[in-house]
Amino acid sequence: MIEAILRLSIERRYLILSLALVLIGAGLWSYQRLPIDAVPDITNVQVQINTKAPGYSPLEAEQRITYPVETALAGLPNLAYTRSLSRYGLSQVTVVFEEGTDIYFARNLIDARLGAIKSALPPGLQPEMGPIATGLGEIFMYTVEALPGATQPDGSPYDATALREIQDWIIRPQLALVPGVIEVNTIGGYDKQYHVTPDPRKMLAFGLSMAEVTDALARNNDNRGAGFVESGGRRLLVRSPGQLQSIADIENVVVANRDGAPVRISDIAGVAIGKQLRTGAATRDGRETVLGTAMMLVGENSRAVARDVAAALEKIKPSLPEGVRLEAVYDRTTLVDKAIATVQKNLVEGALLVIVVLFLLLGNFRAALITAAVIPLSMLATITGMVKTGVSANLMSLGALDFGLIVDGAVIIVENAIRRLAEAQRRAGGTLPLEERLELVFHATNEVIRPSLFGVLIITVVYIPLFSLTGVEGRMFHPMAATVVMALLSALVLSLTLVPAAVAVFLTGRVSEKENRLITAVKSVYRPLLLAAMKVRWLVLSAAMALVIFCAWLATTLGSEFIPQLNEGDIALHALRIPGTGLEQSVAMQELLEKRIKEFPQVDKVFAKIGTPEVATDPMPPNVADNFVILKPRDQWPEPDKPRQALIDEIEAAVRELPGNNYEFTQPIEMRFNELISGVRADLGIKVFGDDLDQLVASAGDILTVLQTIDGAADARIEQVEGLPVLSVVPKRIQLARYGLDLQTLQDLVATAIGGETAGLIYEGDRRFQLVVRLPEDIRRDLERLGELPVPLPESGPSGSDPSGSYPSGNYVPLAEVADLQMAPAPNRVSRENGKRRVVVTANVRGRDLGSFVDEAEARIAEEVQLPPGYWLDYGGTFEQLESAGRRLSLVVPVTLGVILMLLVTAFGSLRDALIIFTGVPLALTGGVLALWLRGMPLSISAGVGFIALSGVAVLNGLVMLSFIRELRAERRDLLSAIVDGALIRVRPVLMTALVASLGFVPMALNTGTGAEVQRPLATVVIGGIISSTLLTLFVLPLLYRMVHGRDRGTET
Amino acid sequence: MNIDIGLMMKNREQSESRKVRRAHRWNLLAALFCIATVLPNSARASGEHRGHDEERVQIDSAMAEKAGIETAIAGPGEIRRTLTLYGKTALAHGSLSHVHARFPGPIVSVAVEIGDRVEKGQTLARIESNDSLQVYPLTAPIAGQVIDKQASRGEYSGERELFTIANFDRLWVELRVFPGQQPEIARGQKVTLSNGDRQLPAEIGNLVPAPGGQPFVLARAAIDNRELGWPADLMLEGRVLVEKAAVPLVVENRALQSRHGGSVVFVQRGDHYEPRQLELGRSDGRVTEVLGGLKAGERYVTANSYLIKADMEKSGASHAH
Repeated sequence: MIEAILRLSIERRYLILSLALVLIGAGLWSYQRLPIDAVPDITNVQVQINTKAPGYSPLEAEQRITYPVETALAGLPNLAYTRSLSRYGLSQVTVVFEEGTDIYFARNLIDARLGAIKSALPPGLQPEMGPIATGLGEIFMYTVEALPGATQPDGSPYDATALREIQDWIIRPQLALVPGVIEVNTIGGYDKQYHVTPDPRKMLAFGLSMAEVTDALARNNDNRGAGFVESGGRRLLVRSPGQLQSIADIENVVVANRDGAPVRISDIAGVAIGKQLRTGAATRDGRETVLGTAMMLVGENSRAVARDVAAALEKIKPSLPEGVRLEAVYDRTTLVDKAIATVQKNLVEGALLVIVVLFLLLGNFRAALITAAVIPLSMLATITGMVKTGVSANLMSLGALDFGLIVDGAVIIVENAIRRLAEAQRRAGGTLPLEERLELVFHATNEVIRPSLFGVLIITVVYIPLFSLTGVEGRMFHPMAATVVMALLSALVLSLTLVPAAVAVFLTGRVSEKENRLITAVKSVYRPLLLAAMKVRWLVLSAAMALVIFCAWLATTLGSEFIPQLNEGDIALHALRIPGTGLEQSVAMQELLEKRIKEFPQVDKVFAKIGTPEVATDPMPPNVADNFVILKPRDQWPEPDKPRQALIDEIEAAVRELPGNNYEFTQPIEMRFNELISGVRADLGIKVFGDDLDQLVASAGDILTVLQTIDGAADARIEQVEGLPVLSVVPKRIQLARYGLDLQTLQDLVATAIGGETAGLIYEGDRRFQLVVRLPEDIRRDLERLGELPVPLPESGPSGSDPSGSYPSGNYVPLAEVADLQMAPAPNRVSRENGKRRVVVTANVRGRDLGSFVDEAEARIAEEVQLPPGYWLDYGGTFEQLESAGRRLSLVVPVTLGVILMLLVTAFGSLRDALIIFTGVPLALTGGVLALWLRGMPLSISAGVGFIALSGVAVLNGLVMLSFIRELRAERRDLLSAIVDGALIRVRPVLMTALVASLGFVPMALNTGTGAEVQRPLATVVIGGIISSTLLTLFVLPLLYRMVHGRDRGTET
Repeated sequence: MNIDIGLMMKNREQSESRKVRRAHRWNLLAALFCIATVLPNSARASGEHRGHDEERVQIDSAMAEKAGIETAIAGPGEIRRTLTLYGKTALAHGSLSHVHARFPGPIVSVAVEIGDRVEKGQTLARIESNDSLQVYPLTAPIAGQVIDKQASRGEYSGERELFTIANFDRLWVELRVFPGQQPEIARGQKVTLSNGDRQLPAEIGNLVPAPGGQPFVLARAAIDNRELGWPADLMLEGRVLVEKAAVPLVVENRALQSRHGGSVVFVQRGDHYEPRQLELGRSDGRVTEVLGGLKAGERYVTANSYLIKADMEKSGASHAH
């Protein structure tokens, strides 16, 4: 079949060339649609369901909202698991689906289920699904600030409330229109509210309750349409306007009638614009601010969307009031551009180097161009494939592309073709006739097509184990493997079709094939060396063996890291305060922190989100702040070449001086990923499931005690669930009855007094603001006097039975008389998983094998910890992923090796030869290990991918060498001369493939730009490995072949 | 951030453990290559463990100043404890007079109108007695204001009430004292009355049970109403000074923080701050009496004491349990 394709390609060569044009067109078209991002998206398929429940404590939020929502979701198709978090005022259920589930399908299912349980939830609460975005979603952030001295139209300076109003009603609606933006989230400032603050004494005087005030406001604030009448031929609409529009309107609302005199709001309460009870704040450079975050729809092109948002922001600026400054503080475009620039630079430089090498070694410009043409063409084909399979272009997916590897197949073909053409021309003493030339090209190609096809196929196959990774690792490396495989396959197809066709078309006339001096020199050195090596073959072989063993040992000393850290340029850090810290306190501490960070000359901006934003995409408590430190470009630093880690260390040392904060340093995108994935991040996580929180904590404590006694346990701890100070107003039921009150009246009163109650909306054009009834701030905050708060009593008095009557003036009872006020810590959050409460005990393992540790822990816990009925344990954590990855790889790796061997056997029809080629692999790896060691790099997955590529190249080299030796041997029957001549003829292609493959990676290995840290280990490994592999292919392989087949002959004769 | 604080508080140790984990995972990947090299846990930086005395923190003075930490010296002070009661004004006993005609008969003339002030003995109306047919004057029994009038010229007086005269010069304020508050309230306590705009000092004159089987007692205080002109039945708030005591050692309330279920203040010693578990006595809205745990003359943190607590527990959190 291969022959048929080759023949077709050569005969229909112009057709093939024009098909290349189609390929170019398709590639360019796809390029427009290629999602470009800095890093691969490692978020799982998840949907967040947030329910805002103002005033609900964690326990109530769990009981009333989380539980019904979770229960409703049970049994969804493709559901992987659910987890939930109940906090003050918020219930968040995260639904994680199986890999590959369509997110829209999943959301539809959830939507249907949520609709069905609406009646099971407390009235007024509305579960909402989070934005359709992933961890890459937060692409753009901006702050809204007032310039110093700027004033509002009424002369007062801009405060946080006014700025928030501008964000909510001017900026946000416009940004939300930008295509690709799914949500504009706001944090900071205060939502503007109209506050009615009744004075308890005046209320008593008029015999009014809070409920009556709320009710009166609600009933006196509406426009009503009254249909229309036809009169005199026209249609006349009738309406009755009655909406409250100003503070004066609100003050004039009549609450009650006392002896014919109307009691107005202004008689009993103050009315003013007030501050909402907020759950989040934002700061920038040490001042409070309003922060907006544009979130990108999943699958969009982050660079394009961020750019559009920036453009939209520019358009909004002129429409803002004088003195209000809108400034972008985080723009993903910067990072993406930098990352793409790095990749581009590497690829372009690599391609140029490859072309130069080809030209130098082939000594034929046309041939070099034909080979080099494979680079852009396969690249375009890859882009088309990426768009089709939904792989985005990023550091990881493009990071492992090496044009050297891609052109390897083509190099071998072209090299052989021009060698044969040149030979033939020398024989014929001039150019060849067309027929003959075509025939020659066919033979030349056919001669080497098998090894080169097999070689490329083998390189492709070695990437397959990467596909067996799952979870985060899988999402990180699948795109890389997919891209490389696509690039290699397209190169393979091209070298089968386009390359022979192009050779046939373009290599007309005199084929100048100069064995240039370099090659001649190499050959003249190589021959004696090879012969010498043959003589001391045992020495050479044992040296090689020793080298392999030495490098295996060296590899164990290298140190390792698992997921590569993509340098995002900017720094993110969590500032953590103790649970229960209030927002105002947190803001004060944050301001101090930011001022300190800002003192660093390298820092351009520093801003933070504290607590939970408007859309609870990230439900942090008020004691946690996400800080973003945006650095200046390096050339503005005092020492431009200071390593990033050194700067981070300095910042960390500086902020550790600040009292009351703890920190965790990360990067913006990484932080977001962690938030979304948010699994157990320790080696071993023991989850205790059950009903009673106290029992859970107690059992977790028992488990912790056992864990700590096990050898190798480190950082063992229990997830902190306690620690939220709570003031409980516990009703005294008998007393309540004595005063003719009921529970609800009391609870309503407390809720309205402290939390406030919404009594409607005030409209100002499109803008709408809540009208809230709440106690005056001075009384509300005075907790010591809360017990003295008068509770109005209904008419019927102490002996009465009907609590719904009116409240006669002055009849009251102090709150402390009918309720106990208790201060006690309560759970600050309730975590659930798969529909059950859980508390996690985590531990890391040091100096001991993880598997045996887990086994011992399981056995000891089963023996020593008594769990009450209805409580159970679940062992999870990294060890689980390790086990499953281990199982999978232990199956996939041997299979892959088997497949490679099978391919080799198919190619040679000999298991022994296949095994000989296989020996090239460990020899190649030695160079990689040495190179890493020389550059002081740890082993990482990136380096691992390098080793993978290396194995492929090594096999390819061996293949090329061996296939030729075999052919020569078949002709001559003399083993030694066949080996030496074959090796000599193959020096050039072996050197060429090695040189192009390693030079293609040189820019990557040296680059220091953004994102280079992922590619550097890979490139280093490949370059080092190819050097060793080439040397070893040139010497050890012929040696081995001679030994293996020499013995053959010995036995035969 | 969606990670619980306990997990997050481990900072350094965590990053180190991550490194270890990577080492583990790497083991699996090593299988990718046919070389039989198993890479065991390789070299890793030995993690420094920040030794932190849980019960003591150090903050240098410049940082303390920046962070707004203020201190004061513990010493004697005064506890002024108050209790808020609500109640209404009422007319003093004897300040209300319902005037009837002594001898029924037609009313000949009426001398006063509603709202007029009258002196004791001033003629209110003249009535012709049915018995003697003499016209006699009906006089005011007390000085005060005419607040009701049921008499017009020519009417027959009968036995009915003709005038109501009330004297507002002195009012009683009747504050409700509920059972839980009764032990605190006693005669002679000072009370500050307020109707929202005006404040008035007074003294509790007596305590009487409320009429009609109500559960509370009324604490009554007399006020001079000549200047104020307050009406009866006016709702008032009374802040009763239930206790005023000079005590040898007090701390400011904002200095108090809860820790391990008790109250502490943080005592400053140079750049170090250490918590002191206190035994507390009485408290008002501003200061709290200290019975034990702190000595007079020691310097303790007042403003931003929460910062010290936060700093102490941030390191404690990773040691928790």
